[in-house]
Amino acid sequence: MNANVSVQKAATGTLDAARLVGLTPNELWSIPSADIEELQLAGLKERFDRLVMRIPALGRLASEQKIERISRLDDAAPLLFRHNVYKSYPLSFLEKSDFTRLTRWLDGLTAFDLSQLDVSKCESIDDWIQFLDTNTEIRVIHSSGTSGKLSFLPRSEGEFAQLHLKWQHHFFEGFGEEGEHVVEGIERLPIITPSYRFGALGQQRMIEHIAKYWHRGQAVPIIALHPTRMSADALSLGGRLLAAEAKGELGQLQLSPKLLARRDEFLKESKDLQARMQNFLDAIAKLEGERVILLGLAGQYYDFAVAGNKRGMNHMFAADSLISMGGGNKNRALAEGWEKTLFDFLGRPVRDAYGMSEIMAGTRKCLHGNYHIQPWVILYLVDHSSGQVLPRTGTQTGRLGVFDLLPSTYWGGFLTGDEITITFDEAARCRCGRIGPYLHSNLRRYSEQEGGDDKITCAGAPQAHDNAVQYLIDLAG
Amino acid sequence: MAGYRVPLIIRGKIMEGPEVTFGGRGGSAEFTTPDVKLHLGKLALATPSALADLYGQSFEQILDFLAALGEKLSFKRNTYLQEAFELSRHTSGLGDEILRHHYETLHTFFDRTMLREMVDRTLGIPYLEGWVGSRLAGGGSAAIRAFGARAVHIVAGNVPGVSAISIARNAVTRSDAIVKSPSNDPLTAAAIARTMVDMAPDHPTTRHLAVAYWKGGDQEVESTLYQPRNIEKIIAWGGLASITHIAKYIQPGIDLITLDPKLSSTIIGREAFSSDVVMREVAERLANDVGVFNQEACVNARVVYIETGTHAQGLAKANRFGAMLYEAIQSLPSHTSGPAKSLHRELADEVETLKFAGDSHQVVGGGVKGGVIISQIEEPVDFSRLLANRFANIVPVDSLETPIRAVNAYTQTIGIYPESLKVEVRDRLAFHGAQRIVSLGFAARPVLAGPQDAIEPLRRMCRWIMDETCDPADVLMPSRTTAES
Repeated sequence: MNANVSVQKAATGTLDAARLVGLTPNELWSIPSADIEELQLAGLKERFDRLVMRIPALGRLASEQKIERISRLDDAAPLLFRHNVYKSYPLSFLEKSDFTRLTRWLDGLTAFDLSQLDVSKCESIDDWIQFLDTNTEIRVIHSSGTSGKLSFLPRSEGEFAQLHLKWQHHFFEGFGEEGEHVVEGIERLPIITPSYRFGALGQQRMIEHIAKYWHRGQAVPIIALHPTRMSADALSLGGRLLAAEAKGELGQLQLSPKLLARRDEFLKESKDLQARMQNFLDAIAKLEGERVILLGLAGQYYDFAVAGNKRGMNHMFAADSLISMGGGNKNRALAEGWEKTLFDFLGRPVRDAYGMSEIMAGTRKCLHGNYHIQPWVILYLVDHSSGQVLPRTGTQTGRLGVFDLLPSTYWGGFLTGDEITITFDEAARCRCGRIGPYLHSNLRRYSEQEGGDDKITCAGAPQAHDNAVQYLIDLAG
Repeated sequence: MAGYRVPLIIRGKIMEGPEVTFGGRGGSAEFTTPDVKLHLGKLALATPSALADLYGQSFEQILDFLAALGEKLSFKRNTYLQEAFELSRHTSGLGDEILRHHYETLHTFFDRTMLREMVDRTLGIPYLEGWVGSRLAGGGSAAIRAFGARAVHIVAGNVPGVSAISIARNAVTRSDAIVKSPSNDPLTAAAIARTMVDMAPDHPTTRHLAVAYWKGGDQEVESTLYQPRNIEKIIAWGGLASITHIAKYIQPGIDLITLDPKLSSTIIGREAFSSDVVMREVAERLANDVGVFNQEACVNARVVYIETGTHAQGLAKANRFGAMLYEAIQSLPSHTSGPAKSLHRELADEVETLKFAGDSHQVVGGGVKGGVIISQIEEPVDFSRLLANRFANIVPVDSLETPIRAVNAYTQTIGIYPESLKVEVRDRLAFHGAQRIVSLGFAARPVLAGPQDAIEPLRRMCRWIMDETCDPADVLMPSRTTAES
């Protein structure tokens, strides 16, 4: 690859890690590893020094791990937050609508001071999220959750904003021969999502911020299957209802009348689905052959494609459309041959992607089948059993840890629940030409490995009710 | 890791034939076993009448046989058991020393006194030995006898004793068993069966036991085997997944007896916190309920409700008690309890996170040594069902109503302190779903002479047959009754 000399110089000199996001992929992936590591270390040190006193949970973790300063990348490995940290509050806070305590819990995970915030008037999770939207810099992203417990990531408006949103360019743009230098004109592209228009799930927040920072008030269509808000309360309540039904504990559920009223609303929405799909397809038919942005999950797209096929819709969008297909077929098995159905409908194949809502980075498989996470994210591999960080040499397999250098108001370090192989070795660089470590496509979730076969014991079955919550999770996307 | 061979044993014969390979727990052990699909025709007892040979043996003769078997199950001398132990070291969740202790004491399941007590308490020996008659209030008499049945036992593998007790129950009820070994303990049942074959290959008790491994849910095996022409009962230990497979085959003629996964808890009244001395003593008793079997069994305590109150002073007491419990767990002798062989990732993530995020919990310990989570609010952690490897969750409460209401159908054992509290709350605990109530510290003590999970498996394993006797001179025949009521 033709390494861009001026970028290399800039990288070693004035560019900080966070500003890597402003480079083009060809610039970004041509920076020598040593320079990247230098930038990463400098960024990590800065983040730690600034946040250790400001994020109480980080302070406690650092003090328990007896870490006072960072001098090597690996020093931060014990400081990676386990991925469940953003749902580490007791579920009863939601059940009892105790948003004061929920806020106090969230206060421990952000550099913003929420201690003076009076949330006592919030009656629902949606109220609380909107209250934070209105009164603070925090734009909580919540997960689809299981058993009704949602995770709440305290990302800030600043972190969603203009410069940071550019990580999405890197998601869509190709490198070198991939020939997908297509983000030009992004500000005029209609957005299509086979999901909800509004809400605080990662995808809905993304739509909100693309509209704000890419479209910038221009009248560009945003077409959603559900033109409504994905309610965090409905999602949480649905999960709790199903979990309680599975456990025979329905009678013990604590539900406020306000939440019960919302269940009806939610059920009504699911009944309207048929009509919504037709309205959605009507709107999309008008965009046939155009270049668009598509945001969604494989399962959502598939349903969309099947409904479209029934109306004879095929090869719908321009080949240079920007398509993000997240989550694989998370939580549901798709019919045999789903990819062909889907790709015929969309008009082009979509490469698998890897990312997570906890980090502001994401990547599609390169033409050689590997994933290259942008280097403002530091990669760690941790040994599954010993918890020790694995050396950054050769090819290693372990539990993936990431440190996202973009956020400055919450801690960017996470230990994921994914097992993956990474090649660190400079000499074994990926044939796509990108410099730097890369992830192989052998991703596995640890939960699938543990208890995946026919283990029988007489002690508790934690998965007993998991099947039941799928319906709601699918809706949530 | 290879080289283990799990035999297929059918009614006194060690079967030979093409073998198939299976992976053990966590991919750490592999074993081969003759392909059971090629022997399906012989696996089930052809007709129920073939049980008749068991009736040539008196109950006492069966006990003689089992007691002799117990003697042969000396871990020091029995190479089959030693081999089962070696394989289990790779497949079991228990540490070596504890596992060895289980194998060294496995023979106790065949103890004559204990078996006689078990049968007499739950079935009544006379019902096994003959027809027990009684006069009926409406005239005539009825005699009842408990007969054996043809059953498949899908056994749990968390402790080897499950295989042993299943074989003993089969023998004393004069039943015919096909034991399906679990992947986390593939050899124990086979080791006992081989010992029986060596000892007396033609003994009726040996001839009514088959031990096989197939992957649970294998449709080819299960759809052939689970037919009313082959079996009358399925005794299934295990969770939702395993029961869901089996439920497909349930039809009239097949009785499903489930010994499903349960969780156990503890209730400790305020008396325990009257002094430091009492607190320590109670912590030691509780450590037994939490730590024995390394918390691998359903009887182990997980959530512990303590009546300290949730005011600042109460929380301080709870936290101090948590530290004492942790210490007591660490002091348990190494043949009964020890550090975990491997960390349960999901549980470790939850516990490690609680250490620094939020202020609703305190954590003592962590990692492979186990730990104690002390809730600072009046409720258990959301992940309480994951608690294992010697992790307990102490929940301070203002009123004992909280733990009583928390009991449900998934609750098996509740350890209680003091005794007076046990008597006071036991009826209410039973209404809510609790199945076994026991003095604190004795939850892990095996007592077989009674119900299990609120049913009596031994009674359910039998077919209860009635013989009614009526003399037309004493009892009116239906045709001779008048229309007038």
